[in-house]
Amino acid sequence: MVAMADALAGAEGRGRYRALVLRRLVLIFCLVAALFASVAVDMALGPANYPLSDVLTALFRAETVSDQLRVVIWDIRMPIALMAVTVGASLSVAGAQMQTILANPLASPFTLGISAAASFGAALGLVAGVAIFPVAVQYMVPINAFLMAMLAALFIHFASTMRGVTVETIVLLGIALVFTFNAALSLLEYLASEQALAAVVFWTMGSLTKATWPKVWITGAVLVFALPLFARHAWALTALRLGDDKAASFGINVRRLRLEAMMTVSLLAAIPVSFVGTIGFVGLVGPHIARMLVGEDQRFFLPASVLCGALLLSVTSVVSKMLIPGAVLPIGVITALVGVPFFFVLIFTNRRRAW
Amino acid sequence: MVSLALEKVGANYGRRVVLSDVDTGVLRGGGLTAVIGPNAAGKSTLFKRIAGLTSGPGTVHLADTAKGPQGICYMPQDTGANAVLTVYESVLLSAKQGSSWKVKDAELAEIDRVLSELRIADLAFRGLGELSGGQRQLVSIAQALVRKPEVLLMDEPTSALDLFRQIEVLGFMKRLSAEAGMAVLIALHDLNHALRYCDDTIVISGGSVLASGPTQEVITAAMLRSVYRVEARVEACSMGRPVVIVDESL
Repeated sequence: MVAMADALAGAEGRGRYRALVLRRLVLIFCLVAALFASVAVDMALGPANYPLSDVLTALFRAETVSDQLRVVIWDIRMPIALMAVTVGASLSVAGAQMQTILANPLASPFTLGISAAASFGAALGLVAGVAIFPVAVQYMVPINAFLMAMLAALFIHFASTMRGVTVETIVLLGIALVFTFNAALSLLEYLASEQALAAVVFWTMGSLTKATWPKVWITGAVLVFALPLFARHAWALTALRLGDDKAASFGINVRRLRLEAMMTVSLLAAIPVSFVGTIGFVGLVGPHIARMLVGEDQRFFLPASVLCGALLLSVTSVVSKMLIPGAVLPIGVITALVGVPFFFVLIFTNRRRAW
Repeated sequence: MVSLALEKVGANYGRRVVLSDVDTGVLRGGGLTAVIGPNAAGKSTLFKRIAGLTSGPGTVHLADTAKGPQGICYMPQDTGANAVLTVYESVLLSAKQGSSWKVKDAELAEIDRVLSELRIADLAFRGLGELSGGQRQLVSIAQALVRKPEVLLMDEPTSALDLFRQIEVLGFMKRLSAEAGMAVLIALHDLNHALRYCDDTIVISGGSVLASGPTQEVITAAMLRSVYRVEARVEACSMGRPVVIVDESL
């Protein structure tokens, strides 16, 4: 009788697990659908009030519409809409894996100083006209930002390889970097001309309006390169969250996994920031929303992080166009304003499934 | 049946020598071996060294093994990590390391079997963060067992369990090791558990082996005095089993 009850309980376990997986797949599918809807709305909205039918015609039969409409949809709105998707996804995945490998809910490209370093690099170009790497003037700002972001990421990365350095120390180092680069940035702003100051402030607010097709392709390509790397280590990355000793006891080379992931994360975080400026919130909150929805099994957590980040930024892009008709507000500002209330609701309703 | 022997095994953290010249006789599968010693004696380090998680001098000899070094499984002390995973997922995670994303029915059936053997099937869909220390320890045991180890190194697996669960888990491990021919080394603080459940005992202090052999020959008043600095007796209880009675600390 006991054996039978145990067998039944066992079968129930299997069934419940399958149901759990199904629920997560449905959630991920819903996120995909929401993302498509959001991107569509994002492309339909803009200062030039084209009716939806015109937008759709321009999308699917571009040769039949006026040059002006085609340019607005294909060369202005679409890069912005897709940039929101690729940047949101990249920052969110970067944040998700930073939180995973550093076992810290506060880890994100923003809190580890990578965004602050990028802002400082950009300001160097905008204020002092200093190119860290000799390139054409129009690329100076993003290249500066990228190099400084990579420098910060590499610093974090090499610090994490030192013996005796704990993950808590890494987060502390990151916070210290934030303060250092912010101070350096303030100094530059203090010294800057009014025009340069305005440019720096606008840059640090984060904006998608600078999106172009090459930028979309580059951020997209880094994402396409990074995701399979993480996917290959899905079980191992999930196990890291059980603690280093436990992960090692599962046969995982914890040190190597952490290094590989950190390198990839550095690229994922540095590229978008150098193109669109500081968008702090997505990298922190995207992964937390994903975690509350599907848990931390990376087979679901990874795609959910991609989708939550992309959706968050895409919706924000829509909202930034709608708040004041005719004007596009800086997305870095709106992300936090839109995201925070939503995040609070999630935290308070899902306390047990949050970190 | 698997057997394990250590020859001049050591381990260093940087320049600090944590373990040196550990020799054991041949430890055969099918029984429990207690590893005892004071705090910071090097028990966990010994386990990590055997499992290949730290490097160091000496040789770990394995014989009659089907899986080789892969068959050695170390179960660390629980650190209370709070991943947003259910018990079921955390055990699946242990079983699936290094394999594909796809989860087969047979793998799930194995998890169900292990959870119900440990009588924690009712916890399967609780979050790890909701468990008590003792429950987490049982989940850790499930994570280890689902890997079907030939040599299992358990680092204080009963430290957070209530009395009933301690007896149940040790009895279960003794039965399982005999059935599966598994060699189980258990770091223990309760010497009466060692006397009752473990055929052999290794005493570690200050990073080296002070004594090893059949448990009743190793756990003596003299050993307790020199290793644990306590005045104690080892006497037969009314059931005839030897028990440690501690009188005072020295």
